[in-house]
Amino acid sequence: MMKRNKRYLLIAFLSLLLLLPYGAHLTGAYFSDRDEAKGGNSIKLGQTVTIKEEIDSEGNKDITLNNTGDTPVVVRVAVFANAAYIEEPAGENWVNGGDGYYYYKKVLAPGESTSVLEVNLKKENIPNYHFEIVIIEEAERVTYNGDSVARPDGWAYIGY
Amino acid sequence: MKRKAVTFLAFFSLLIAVFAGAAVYGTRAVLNPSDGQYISDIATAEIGVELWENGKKAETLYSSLTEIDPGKSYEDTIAVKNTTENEEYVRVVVRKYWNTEGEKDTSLSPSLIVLSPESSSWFENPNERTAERSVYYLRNSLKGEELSAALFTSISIDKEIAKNYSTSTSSDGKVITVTYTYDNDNAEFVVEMEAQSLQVPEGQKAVTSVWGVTNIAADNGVLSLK
Repeated sequence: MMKRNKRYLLIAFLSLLLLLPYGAHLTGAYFSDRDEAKGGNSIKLGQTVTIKEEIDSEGNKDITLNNTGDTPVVVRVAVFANAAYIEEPAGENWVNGGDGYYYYKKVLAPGESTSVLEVNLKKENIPNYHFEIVIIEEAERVTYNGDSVARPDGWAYIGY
Repeated sequence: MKRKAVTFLAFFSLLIAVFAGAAVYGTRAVLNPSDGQYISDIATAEIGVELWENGKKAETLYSSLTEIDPGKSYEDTIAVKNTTENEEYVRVVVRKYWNTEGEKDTSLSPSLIVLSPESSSWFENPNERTAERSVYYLRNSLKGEELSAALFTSISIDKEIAKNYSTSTSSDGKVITVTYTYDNDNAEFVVEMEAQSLQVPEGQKAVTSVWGVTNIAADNGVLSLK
């Protein structure tokens, strides 16, 4: 009797072992697979722009901007002077934005320079006191709207 | 002697029952009743998936983008390939974040990394969305050896990344040099993607059990939001 009970216990134990795979299926052993990848890059934003002002003996100024950084930029220049004494500033690819700034129409790639913006005094109306033309330059790292160059905030010119 | 025979018979019957049940269950797990290819499906009881970038298996994502202008859209196609003969459901888990000097930088928003999904073939599960993570599901199951429709076709970095800067000026008397230093100069965007696939038979149970989502319906080879 004792021997038979042991045999039944052994059968029950072995049966439980064999049922384990069922348990695994019922708790979510489904076919699945995965594959992963990762990547990225750094964004260069810094820039350096030089302003070269050449002044002749009459006080006229020739302005040239050079992108000496390693990212593309757009530039504009404000000319502070009594309008009664200077000619309209002009130069190839320079545009009067009507907001006090003169905009260079082209993106300056690293190493590129603008053409000259000439700021000349009027010959017939030279002031008889010390007179100075002050130039303020601004440059912005080029950004895009899709494939078009974006207009920097607060800039009037959008012709890039 | 008779008792021994009965015991042996009982044990043998149990063995038969267990193995028969396991065989039936294993078959059910891979069969797709809709395609009628029962025999071949049973023979290849597995599924496989690969993440693909620009027509080949992805290794390092976006490695071709060495110079990035903020706001500019760069073509780069991400898709998923079924690498076996068996039909499968597919989803892609996408994580976006920024590193500064090799360390994760949570001050920069992941939303500045712009990936726009192709919405006719894929949909996002809003319940799984966090600031960094988005999970996209392929609507229709991927057939054997099939390459999915593109999940993404381009990437761009929002131009807001270049919003804040400071300037310093120096002069040698002839030339004035203005240096612009941007707050986020050299920040590194990072994108992680993981393609995951699941069997189509008993897909609803598999989706709930393996992917752990309860608001995705898997019905007859189609995934959708409940």
